[in-house]
Amino acid sequence: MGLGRYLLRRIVLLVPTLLGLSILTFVISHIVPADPAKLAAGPRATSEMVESIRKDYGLDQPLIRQYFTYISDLFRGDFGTSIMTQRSVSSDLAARFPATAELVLYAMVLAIVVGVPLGILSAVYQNRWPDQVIRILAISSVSLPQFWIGILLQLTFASSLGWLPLSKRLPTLEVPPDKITGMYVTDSLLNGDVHLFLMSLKHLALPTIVLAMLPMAIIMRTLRGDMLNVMNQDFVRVARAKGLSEVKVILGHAARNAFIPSLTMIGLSFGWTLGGTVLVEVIFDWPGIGNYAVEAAGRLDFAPIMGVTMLIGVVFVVLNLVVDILYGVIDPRISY
Amino acid sequence: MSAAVGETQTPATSGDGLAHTPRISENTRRTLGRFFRNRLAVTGLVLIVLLVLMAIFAPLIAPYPKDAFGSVHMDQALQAPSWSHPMGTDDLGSDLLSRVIYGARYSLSIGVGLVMIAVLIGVPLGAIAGFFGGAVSEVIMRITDIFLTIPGIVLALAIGAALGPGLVNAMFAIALVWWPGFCRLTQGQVLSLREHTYIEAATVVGVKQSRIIFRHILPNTLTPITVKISMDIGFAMLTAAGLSFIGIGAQPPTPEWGAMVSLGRQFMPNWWWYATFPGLAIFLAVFAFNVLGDGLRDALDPRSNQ
Amino acid sequence: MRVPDPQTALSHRFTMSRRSLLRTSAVVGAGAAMATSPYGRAALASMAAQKSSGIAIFSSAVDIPNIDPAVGHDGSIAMAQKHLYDTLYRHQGNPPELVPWLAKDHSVNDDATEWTFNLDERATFADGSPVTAEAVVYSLQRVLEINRGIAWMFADIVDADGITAPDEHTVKFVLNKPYAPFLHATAWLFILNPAIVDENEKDGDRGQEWLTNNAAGSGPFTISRWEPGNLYQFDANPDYWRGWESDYLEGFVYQVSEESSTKRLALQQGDIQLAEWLSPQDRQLLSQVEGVVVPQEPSITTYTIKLNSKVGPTSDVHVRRALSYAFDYEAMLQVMSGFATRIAGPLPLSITGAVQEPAYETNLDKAREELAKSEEWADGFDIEFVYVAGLDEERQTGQILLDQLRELNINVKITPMEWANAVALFEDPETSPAMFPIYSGSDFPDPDNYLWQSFHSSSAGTWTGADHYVNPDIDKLLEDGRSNPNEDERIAIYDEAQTILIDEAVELYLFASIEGMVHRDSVQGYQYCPVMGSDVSFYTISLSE
Repeated sequence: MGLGRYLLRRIVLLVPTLLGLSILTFVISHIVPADPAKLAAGPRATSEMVESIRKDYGLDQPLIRQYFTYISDLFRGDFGTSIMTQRSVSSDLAARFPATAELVLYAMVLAIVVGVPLGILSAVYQNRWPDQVIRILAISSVSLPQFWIGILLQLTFASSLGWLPLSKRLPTLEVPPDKITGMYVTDSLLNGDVHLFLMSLKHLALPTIVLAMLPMAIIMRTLRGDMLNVMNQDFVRVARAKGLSEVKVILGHAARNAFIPSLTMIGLSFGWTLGGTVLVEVIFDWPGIGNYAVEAAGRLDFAPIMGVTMLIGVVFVVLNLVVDILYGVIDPRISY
Repeated sequence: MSAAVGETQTPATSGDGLAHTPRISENTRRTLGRFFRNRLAVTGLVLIVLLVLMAIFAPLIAPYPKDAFGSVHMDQALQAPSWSHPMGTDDLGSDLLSRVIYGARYSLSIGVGLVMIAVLIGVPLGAIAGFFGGAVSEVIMRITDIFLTIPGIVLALAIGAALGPGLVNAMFAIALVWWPGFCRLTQGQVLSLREHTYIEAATVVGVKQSRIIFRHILPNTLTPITVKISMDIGFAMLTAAGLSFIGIGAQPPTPEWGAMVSLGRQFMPNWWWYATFPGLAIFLAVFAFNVLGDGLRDALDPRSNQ
Repeated sequence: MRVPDPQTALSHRFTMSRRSLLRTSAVVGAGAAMATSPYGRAALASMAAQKSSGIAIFSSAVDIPNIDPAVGHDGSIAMAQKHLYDTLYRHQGNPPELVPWLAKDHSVNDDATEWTFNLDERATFADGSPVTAEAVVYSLQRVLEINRGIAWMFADIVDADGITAPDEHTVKFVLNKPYAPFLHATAWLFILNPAIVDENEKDGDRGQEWLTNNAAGSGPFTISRWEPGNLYQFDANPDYWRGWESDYLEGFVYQVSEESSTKRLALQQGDIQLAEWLSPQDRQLLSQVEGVVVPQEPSITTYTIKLNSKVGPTSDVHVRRALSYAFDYEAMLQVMSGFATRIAGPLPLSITGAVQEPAYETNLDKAREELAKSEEWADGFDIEFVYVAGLDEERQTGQILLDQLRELNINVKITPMEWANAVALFEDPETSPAMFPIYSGSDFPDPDNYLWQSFHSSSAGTWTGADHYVNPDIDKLLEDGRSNPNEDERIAIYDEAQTILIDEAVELYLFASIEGMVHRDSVQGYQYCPVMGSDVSFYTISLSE
C-alpha cells in the first residue's frame, strides 16, 4: 500500500473517531440533572437573569442545533467558558497544558530509562532471582494505588525528611522562567537559570516518580516478553554461534529488535499516563489539566471537563498514529 | 495468534462431527500443575480467598460491626492503633478495622461486578465483530475505538461528574469505559481463530454459525479473556478507588477503601492510620488479582514464559 | 459561548520586571528594592521613616474567580475586594463596628429614608485622581444596572435615581422605603474609578470583563500578579491616601491550596505566614506548635440545618421539635474540636438582642414524646440529609444525625451533592431537601441580614430560604424591624421573632464557628473582624524578624 497511502488512510479514519469523541463529550455534558443555565447564573439569580443567560448560551435551542454549534466552535478552538475561572476553557487549557506535559514527559522518560534496562535484565536472567525480584517489583508498582503511594511519599520525603517540597511547581515567591515551552525545567535550562532549574527539578521529582510507576512496570514487562521472544529466534543463535560476546548479542541484536514491538506498548502507556496525571496532580497541587478537570467536576462546570477530555483524546489519537508510523518506518519487515 | 491451549492435537468430537476439547484432559492437569508450582500465583490465590471470606463473614469477623456504617463515639475519635482497635479509629470514633473488613465487600463486588458487566457487553460484541466482519465489524470497532481514545479515568470522571456522586453512578461510568477492552480482545481472537482450517471446514459442512461461535470459537478465546478478567478486576478496583478518592463514587458513610483514603488524607501525618490501612488493603487486593492473572497466563500459555 | 481572553497585561508586565526584585526582597526588608519599582522611586523620599517589611504568604482553599465589585461576592472575593477598594464605611473589630472610611461622617433623617455622606477630601484612587461623589454615584448605579452580586442589598431599597451628588464631596441617598441597617450596606459598596472602568468597557459590558481580573480602586493594595486557580499577589500602594503605620508589608500573596494538611505543614515549616480553611483538628494541632498563633475569635457565621417546612416529615412542627431534642449537640462541638459555640436560635450570640439560652438540649425521651404527638410520623420514617460534597463537618453532622435518629426509628440517608445541583433543588418545595446544613450570615452583623433572607416569605426558594417557611406574623415582624430606626424597639421586635422561630424549631440551630486566621508569630498587627472578607486586613499587618 505504501507509507503515504497508509498515512492518508489513518488520518481519514481519525475523523470519525474524533467526531465520535465529540458526540460522546457532548452527550455527557447534557445528561447532567441540573439546569446549566441556572448553574451559570449562580445562586442569587432571578428567573429573568436565568432566562437571559439561557438565551446567551444558546441553551434554548434544540439539541441537534446545539451540537452543531458545539462542533463549529470546536473547529475554531472554542471550548466554551469555564464558570469557575470565568475565562475561556481554551485559554485555561493553554495555560495549564505545559504543566501536565512536563509531568507526563518526564515520567515517561523516567519509565523508559528505568524500565528498559530492567526489562532486558529480567529477560536475560529469566526465572532466576533477578527476574523474580523485578517481576514482583513490576506487579507491585502496578498494584499500588497512585493516590495512596503519592500521599505516603509526599509525607515521608517532604514533611518528615524535608528533602523535597510538598507540592506545586515552584516555591510561592519564585517567578517562573521566561516562557519558551512552558515547562519550567526545560525553560530554566534554556534560559541558563541554574537556581530556577534546581528548584523546579526538586518540585518535579516526587510527582514524576509516582506517575512513572505504572508505565515503568508495563514497559518492564513488555520488554521482557518481547526480549524472550526475540532471544529464541534463529538470528540470535547465529550471533551467538558467531562468537559475539553476550553483551553484544543482547544489546546489539536482541534488544534492538525487541524494542520495536515494545513501541506500541510505550505509545499506549503514554496515554494511560495521561490519565494517571489526574490523581497525581490532585495530590501534589500541580496546576495541570488533570487538576483542572477534577476541580471542574467538583463544581459541575462541564466545559472544562469536556475540554480536557477532548484534548486528551486528540493527543492520544495523534500519539498512536505517530507510534504506528514510527513502527512502520523502523521495522523493515512491515510494509504498508 | 497460535492455537489456544487446552486443545489436544486431534480434538475429540462433539456430536456434530467436529472437534472440541475433552473434559479433563492431560493438558488441564498440566496447566493446574504449572499454576500451583508458581508460588507467587498461589499467594495471590490465597489472598483472594481470604478476601472473599472476609467479605462474606464480615459481620462475624469485624470487632465492631455497627461501626462499619459510621457510628459516632467522639470520645474515641482518632485513636492510634491499639489492642482494642488494631487499626485505630476514625474522626468520628468508628473502628477502622471493622470498616476495612466491611470494605472488602464493596471492593470485591465493585471489581468483580464491573468486569462481569464489561465481559457481558464486550465479549459478545467482539465476537460478532470478529466473526462477521464487514460493516457490522467496522461500526462496532469504530465505537470501541472512540472509547479507547480516552484514558479510562478521565472518561469515568466526566460521566461520574455528570451523573453525580454515588457508587452506582461511578460503577456505571467505569463499566461504560471498560467494555471496549474486552470487545477489542475478543474481536482480535475471533478474527484469527476464524482463519483456522477446521472452522472453515465447519462452515463448508454447514454447521450453524451460532454453533460455531459458541461451541468452537469462544471456548478457545477463554485463555486470554480469563487472564484479562483476573488482571482487570484489580485495575477496576483501582479505578473505582481512584474515583472515590476524587469524590465521585462511594460516599460516606459507606466503608469503601478509596473513600476512606480520601477522608484520611487530611489527617496525615499525625493520624497516619486513617489513610494508610485502607490504602494497604487496596494494594494487597489488587496485587493478589494481578499476581493471579500473571500466574494464570503463565500456566495456561507456557510459551509466554518459555 | 465565546468570551475573548481577558488581558492580564498589568500582572504580566510586572512579572517580567519584578523577577529579580521579588527574589531579593522576599525575606529581607525591601528598602533598596523599592527604589527600582515603578512607583517606588517617587515615593522613596516620603517613605524614609517607614520601611516595608517583606511579603506575607497566605494560603487558602478557595479560588478568587471574579473581583468585579458589582458581580463577585463570597469570602475570598470579598477579601480581595476589601484590599483593592474602599467603601464609605467599613467593618472593623470584633464585635464588628462601623467606622467611617471614605466618608468622614454621615447624617440620616428621622425615618431612615434619607442618608447623606460627607467624603474625606484626601481620598484618591490608585492612579492619583480624587475620589469624588460622582464616583460613588457611578458605583451604585453600576451595581443596580448589572443586578448581580451584592445588588440584593440595594435592589429593593433604592433606585438608580435615588442617589445624587449635591457637590463634589457629598453623596445623598434617598431610599424608597425606610431601611435601618443601611449603613451596613454601604460597607459593601466598593467605589470604582469611573475613568478607568469606562476606558476598559467592551461591547456595553460596563467593564465587567476587565474588572473580573483587574481593579480600579482606591484601596491600600494593587494587583501585581494574578494567576487564577493558583496565586494572586497584591502590592502595597505606598501613596495610599490614608497613609501607613510605621512598618508595613511590601505586599502579600494569596495562594490556593486545597488540602488542610498541606497548609498545616507549610505553616509549621514557616513556608507560609497565614492560612485559613484549616480543619478543626489541624487548628488544634497547631495550637500546640511553637511559633504559630491560633486565634479563637467568635465569628458571626451561624451553622444551622435548614428543614423543609412545606413538604415531608419536617413540615410537622412536632417532628422538627423531636429532631431538635434528639440532636447530639455535644458530639457536634467535639467534632469541631472546640472551635464552635452553641447558638440558641438563628442569631449568633454576639449580635445585639440575640437569644442566649438554647431551648433544646439533647434528650431522647423528650424527643420521643414530641414525635409521638405527630399523627402521621410517630412511627418513624425515612429522611434525606443533603450536604455539600467535600465539606467535612457537614458530612460529620449527617453521621451524627444518622446515629442518633436510629433510636427514634428514623432512617437518615446521607447524600452529598454539588452546591450548584443543590441550589437548583431549592426552588421547588417538592424537591427541596428535608435537611440541609448551611453556613450563613456574615455579610453584615444585623439581625435583618440573618432573618430576612431565611424566614421572610419572599426568600422562600432561594438558597438561604431553603426552609420554604411562610409565616405572616414573621413577615410583619421582619418588615417592622428593618424599617424602624429605633434601637430598643428593634430589639423587642426581633426578640419576638426569634421566640417564634425557636419555638417552631424552623431550623436546627447548631453553632457559630470560632474563627481567626492561623498565623506565624512573625505576623504582627493581625486583627480579626467576623464580617465576610474581613477576617484579615493586611493593611494593619507587618512582619517581624
